[in-house]
Order: sequence, then structure tokens, then C-alpha cells
Amino acid sequence: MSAAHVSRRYARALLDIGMSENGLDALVSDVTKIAETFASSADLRAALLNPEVAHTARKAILTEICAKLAVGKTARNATLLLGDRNRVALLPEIAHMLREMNDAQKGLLRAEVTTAVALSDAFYQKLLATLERISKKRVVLDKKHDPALIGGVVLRIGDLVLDSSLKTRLDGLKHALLPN
Amino acid sequence: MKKRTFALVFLLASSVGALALAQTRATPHPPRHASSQPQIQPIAAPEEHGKDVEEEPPPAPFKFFDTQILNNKQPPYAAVLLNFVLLALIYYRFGKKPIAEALKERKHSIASAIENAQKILREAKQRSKRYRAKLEQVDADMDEAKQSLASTGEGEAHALFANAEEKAKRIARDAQFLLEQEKKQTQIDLLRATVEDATKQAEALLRSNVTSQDHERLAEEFLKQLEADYAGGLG
Repeated sequence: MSAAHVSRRYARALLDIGMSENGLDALVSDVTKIAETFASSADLRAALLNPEVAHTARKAILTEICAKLAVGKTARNATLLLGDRNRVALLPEIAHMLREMNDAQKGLLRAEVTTAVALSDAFYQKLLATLERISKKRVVLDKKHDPALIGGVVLRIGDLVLDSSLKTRLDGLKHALLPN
Repeated sequence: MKKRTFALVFLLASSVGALALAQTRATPHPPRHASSQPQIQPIAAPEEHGKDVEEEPPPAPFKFFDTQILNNKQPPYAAVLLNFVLLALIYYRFGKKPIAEALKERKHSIASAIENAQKILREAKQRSKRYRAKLEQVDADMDEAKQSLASTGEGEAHALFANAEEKAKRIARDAQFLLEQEKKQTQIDLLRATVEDATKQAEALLRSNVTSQDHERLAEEFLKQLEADYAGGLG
């Protein structure tokens, strides 16, 4: 069974629990926070993914993280379950899928917009309005910044990627000039 | 019966002949000077004495037939003749058949030997003829072989030359191809290095010169493009 398939199963289970408890948004937020913490810290990943670290120690680390992030009971139990089953590495993907499922449940369209520098709010408002008009859905914008883009915008909606960054244009120019 | 008679006659003749011969041998020679009184031999010189010793007595008178066969100094000629005739008869009687057969056999063997010799001679002549023909042919063969070798060598030389020419052409062609490949690769490498350098410099230039107005302008362009491309919807 592939990791994506397993992640989708866990996300589906969490979605069902969140809906049954009427706390889906909080659960999504908690799981996202835990996943971001896991993804952002290399030391934490090394400790949790190291098979030489004892099971009880890993469990204690995860308990401590959940306590510090002040996540709910469901999110904590889910995290500890993943730790017991050596599936902690799937946390970011589970969180992403859970968020997508939650958005789909609410009829939301999540769009990730990446720019080289922070742009004016007017641009983001215009973008939001444009996306809602052309998608005929409520849109949630996730704003990101990446100086490597030099300039321009990269928009990601699900599998669709619209890239107008200067970095990509330069790469295209370079490939066009170079022989095959 | 006939054989017995013949044998008896033969024995008799033999015994008479033998007796006559025996008497002849047994009878001493008469003194050189037949005389009843003893004579004093004069002492002669050594030369004279030697002359006396070597002198032979004169032969006895010839007798064809003599009745005194037994005490005769010399056998009568008839006895000797008879003896010879008997001997010839015996030879003829007992030796005719085997001698004839032996001669016949000898004749056959000689004939076969002659025939063999003739056969060998014929073969030798044929062989000699063949060898002579071969010897005559050897010169022609040698000339032919020489010509053949010369033509073959000439052909091989031509083939080698053609092969070498072909190889030289191929090497030149390969070298030209390699040269062109190297040239192309160098051009590509140069172009790649130039493009890499140019894009790096362009990136650095852009990073240093892009202003916030440029960012806003690029964002607006993106929005316009988005509206233009997806006016009909995202699906």
C-alpha cells in the first residue's frame, strides 16, 4: 500500500471523527500545527524517525509537543497513534489531505499564491475576487513568499499550477537558447 | 632282366679297366739305361746331373689290343674305349630322362626369366618415356607456375594497394567526421557556457534592479492573464 493511500485513510478517519464531534475546523487546525512543527524541525524529525530511539521516548516527545501546542484530545490521540504505528512521517501529508477534505466538505477552494516579496492587500483582494468569479466557489488564499522567484506570481490550486515568475521565465529562455 | 645284364657287363668292364689301371700304376719304371750289369755312374757336374734327372723316358709302343691285359705296362686302347662306351651307355640310360627334364625345366625357367626381363624392360621403357614426357612438361609447368605466381602477386599487389587506398580514405573520412563532431561539441559547449553565463548575469541584474513597482506590475499582468485564460472557468 502506498504512503498516499495510507495518508488518505488516516485523513478520512480524522475527518469523520471531526465531523462527528462537530470540531472539524479545530481538528484540522491542530493536525496542521503538529504537521508544521514536525516539518519545520530537522532535529525533531531525526529523533522521531530514528529507530534507535526507544518507543517510550518517542511517545514522550509527541506528548510533550501536543501539550506545548495545546492541541485537542483527538489530535493528540491521533498523533500518538501514528507514533505507535511508526507513521509519524506521514503527518504533513495527512494534514494536507485533511485540509483538502475539509475544504471540499465546506465547498471551499484553497489556492496557494507564492510571490518573491509581500505584495499589497489590494492585489490579494483582486486575486481572491477573480478566483471566486472564475471558479464560482469560495476561495481561501494561502500566501507564501519565495525570493528565488525574483518576481512574478506562482498560483497553485490543487493540481493546477500557474507560474509567471521571472525565475521560470529565465529558465525557459535558457532552455530555448540551449541546443537539445 | 635287361637291366641285370647291363649291370653285369658294366661291373665286368669296370673290374677289367680297374685291374688294368692298377697294374699300370703298380709296375715300376724301367731303369733309364737298361743293362744287366751294374755300371759305375760317373760323377758329373751339377749341371749335367740336373739334366739327367729332368729327362723323361720315351713312351711305350701303342697297343690297340693285347691279350695280356693283367700284366701290361700300358692298358690296351680297346679296353679304354670299351670302358668309355660303357660309361657313355650308363650315362645315357640313367641320365637321359632327368637331364632332359632338368634341361626342359631350365629352358622354361630361362624363358620365364627372359619374359620377366622383357616385361621389366617394357615397363622401364614406358616409365622412361613417361618420365621423359614429365621432364619435358616440367619446363612448361615451371613457366606456367612462374606466370601464375607473377599474375597472382600482381593481383595481390593491386588488391593491397586498393585496400590501403580504401583504408586511407576511410581513416580520412573518420577523422573528418570526428573533427566535425568535435567542432559541433565545442560550439555546443561554448553556447551552453555563454547561455549559462548570460542567464546568471541576467538573474543578478534582475535581482538588483527589480523594484516594488515592478513586482506590482508583474502581479497585475498575472491577474490579467488569469482572467484572460480562465474567463470560462477553472474546470
